[in-house]
Amino acid sequence: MADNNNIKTFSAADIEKYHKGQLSPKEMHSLEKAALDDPFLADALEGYATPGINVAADIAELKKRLSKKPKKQRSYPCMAAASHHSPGSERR
Amino acid sequence: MPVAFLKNISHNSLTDKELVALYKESGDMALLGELYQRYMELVYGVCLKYFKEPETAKDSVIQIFEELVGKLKKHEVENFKGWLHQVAKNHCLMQLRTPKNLKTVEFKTELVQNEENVHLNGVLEKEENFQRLENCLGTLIPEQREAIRLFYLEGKCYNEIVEMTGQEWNQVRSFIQNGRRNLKICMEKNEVEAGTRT
Repeated sequence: MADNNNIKTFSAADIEKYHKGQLSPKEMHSLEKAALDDPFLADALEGYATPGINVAADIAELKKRLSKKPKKQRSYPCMAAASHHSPGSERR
Repeated sequence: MPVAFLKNISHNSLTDKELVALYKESGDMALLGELYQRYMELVYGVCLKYFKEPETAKDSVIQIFEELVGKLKKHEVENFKGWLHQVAKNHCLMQLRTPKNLKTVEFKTELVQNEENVHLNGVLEKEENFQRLENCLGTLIPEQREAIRLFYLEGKCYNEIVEMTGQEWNQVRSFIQNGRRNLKICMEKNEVEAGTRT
């Protein structure tokens, strides 16, 4: 990915492997190093240490739930409610 | 318009910034979905960190996406990833900020100002900085110095450092976190001094 503000991305699956001890010391180190420079990743790394989660299933569920969102948003009820701070921000 | 926007990804090559701009212009939810997808796994991780259980965390991932719909249009967002991290943290903190839960809220996270972007990794890899680094390492407390040395100079992971030093994993991590923060301050100070010399 040619994303300029993304040097290297680690997936939830990588992080899961990290916590399960399935990465080599070298790989662990590179994830830890990336996390020290990326607070977002650092938080996520910590979060995925939560016991009793099923990362793959949870991510799949989230993708599914999110993919249903546009239908609900089509009438823009949230926009109407949210726009009271800045009138005139309605959708063009 | 297709309901399953996740299936119609055609914006892979666009940067976050370009997607943000396109979304602001068009209001196209598919674009926002594409953008969110890039970081959703991180968002879920953040939510897990705060709620410590998957159900609330998953609901929050969805709620944060909904928040973005309006928020992104109202804010000037230069760095989407960093901004999303803040939005996600704030969302979780707001959820937790009820009297009964106050204890579990880590205000520290906000105060520490993680966004300062300590780009130590790059700095340490430049050879000309080694001398300066050596000097600054000397200013750290021994535990921090040792942890930093093992981590950055020898490339050891936390577990290896735990084994080598007999310290707790959490201790190792904070020695490294605090050590690098102190190191950064020291390196920057010296950089200014070096800069005035040349």
